[in-house]
Amino acid sequence: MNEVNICMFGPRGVGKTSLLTTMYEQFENDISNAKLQLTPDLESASILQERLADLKSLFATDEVFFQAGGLLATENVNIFNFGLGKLGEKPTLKLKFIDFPGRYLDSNADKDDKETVNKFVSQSQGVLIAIHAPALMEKQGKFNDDINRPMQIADFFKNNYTKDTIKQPRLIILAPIKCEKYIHNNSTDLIDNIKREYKRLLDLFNSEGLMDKITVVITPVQTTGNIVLGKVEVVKDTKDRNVPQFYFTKNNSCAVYAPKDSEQPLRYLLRFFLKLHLSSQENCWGIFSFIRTWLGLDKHLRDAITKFASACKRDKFFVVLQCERWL
Amino acid sequence: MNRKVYIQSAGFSPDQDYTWITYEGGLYKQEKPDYLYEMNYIVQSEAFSVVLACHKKNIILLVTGLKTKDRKDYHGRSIRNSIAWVSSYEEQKKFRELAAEIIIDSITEKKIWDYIDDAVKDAGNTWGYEVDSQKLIDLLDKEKVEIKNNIPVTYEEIRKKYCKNNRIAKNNPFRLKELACELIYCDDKIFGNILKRNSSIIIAVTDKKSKDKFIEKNVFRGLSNLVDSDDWIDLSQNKNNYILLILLLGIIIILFFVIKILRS
Repeated sequence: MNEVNICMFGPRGVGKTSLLTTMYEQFENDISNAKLQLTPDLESASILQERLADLKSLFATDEVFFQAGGLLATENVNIFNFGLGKLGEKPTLKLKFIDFPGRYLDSNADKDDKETVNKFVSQSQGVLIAIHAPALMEKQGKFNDDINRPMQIADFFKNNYTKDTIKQPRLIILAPIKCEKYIHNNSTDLIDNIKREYKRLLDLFNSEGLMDKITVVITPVQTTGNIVLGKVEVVKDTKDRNVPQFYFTKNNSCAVYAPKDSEQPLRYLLRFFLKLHLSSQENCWGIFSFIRTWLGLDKHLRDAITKFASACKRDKFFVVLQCERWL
Repeated sequence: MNRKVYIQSAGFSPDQDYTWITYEGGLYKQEKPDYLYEMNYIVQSEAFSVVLACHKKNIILLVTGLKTKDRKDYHGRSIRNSIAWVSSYEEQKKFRELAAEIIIDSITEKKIWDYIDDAVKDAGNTWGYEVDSQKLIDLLDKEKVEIKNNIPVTYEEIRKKYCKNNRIAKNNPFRLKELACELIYCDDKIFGNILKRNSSIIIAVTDKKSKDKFIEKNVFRGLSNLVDSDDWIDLSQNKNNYILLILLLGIIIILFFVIKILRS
């Protein structure tokens, strides 16, 4: 089976596994995808099922304010495998989401860990950077550096994405998570803050050697839909430093689990592959050679992907920051 | 005998992510046990898991996913401890007994979890936690009370049931007890043969891992909730059946040609 790698970065507790859970669930529930099917492997399915129950259980709480960091933090590299293909047939494409613990990007990270992450990133066609939206937006963003670590991410890509190492196009998805409050407010501060706080990273992608190869999009994801940030409390840690604690609250007492836009990263990813397929003469294939066999032979699959990918959102929250030619 | 213990835990703050450390000679050091990647490959390390492995003439016991009682991160989530004991091959019996004790403890009172929880505390250092390493090393020599109280079988009984082939099953209390029995009562010789391999996973107990991983890594005993059989599946028997089938096919083909030659 052809294989696609998507690396996932982001602080622990931001909700990367929840994003995959709701992505899968929204994909399954979207009747416009009648001709496509996404199937997690046994391990992934059982973890996602557990996470789905966690997400739904948040709505059962009687507490007004509660923390919503999920049950399990990732200690090691976690790989979630999905098969994608035509409905009722064996999947023809394996989507491999690789979730790295934040410490793999630390300057003092273990040599093996560094090599692992470098290897995966060099082989990945897509990168998803999950952003903890409350850390970015609350208290004038003063905890953003501690939690989202945009500088560390920029430094990592500075070492791994260069004119010489990036020969084929790549898709970078910046996905603010737990952003219900800011989307409901209908203000573009969320997007403006991403552009400002991730400027170093975005400048790197927009540098002369990379600008025509790296497509960057912002796709905010609401993994619960109806749970919003309620308050932020600042407490002292064991080193006497200020650390924020984020408390969430339900929109109203009858609020139910209703994720929004979780499948958008997947739509953009498939749109990106489709465009690469259609403009095949322009590239040397390299890590994208799977597209030729995957989409080249099956018109029905191509049509189904085209339909799914055409629903990529474009508005003030869903923004293509650069290199639109690959979408 | 050069015993070493590695601990993985996390602190409260965002920069105090899960990290493996050791404590020796009064100093903390960020350091992972050897063979960790291979051991983590066959378990769901976020959940309670036990791995007994050998690597480069050392025996390793890895226990992961030990939820702490009071320690939480800034998201309000309980922090989990993982411990790896490492020593030379000669200590395999003590390692088997500790593995058995921890397995039995997981389905009884979880006293060892509490004991380990007490040995790892929040601290104001880089990692956000400190550890009483000696307390953890002492576990290898402590009297194995849980086993005596909870394994009512004899050496002869387990000898009768013993299967030298690789076996896997769904993770349930019956199989866990049987596994603990094997670890306690089996010949040093039997385990010795497995341990003679350069690197090998002897046992793996976990929550969500597919049986394919156990088969791929040639695990001697594997328990996971994703194995669909409550009873042991004898993996070598499947392999033997496959070999028999190939042999049978080979004989049929040879017979076919022999008959053809005789007729002509």
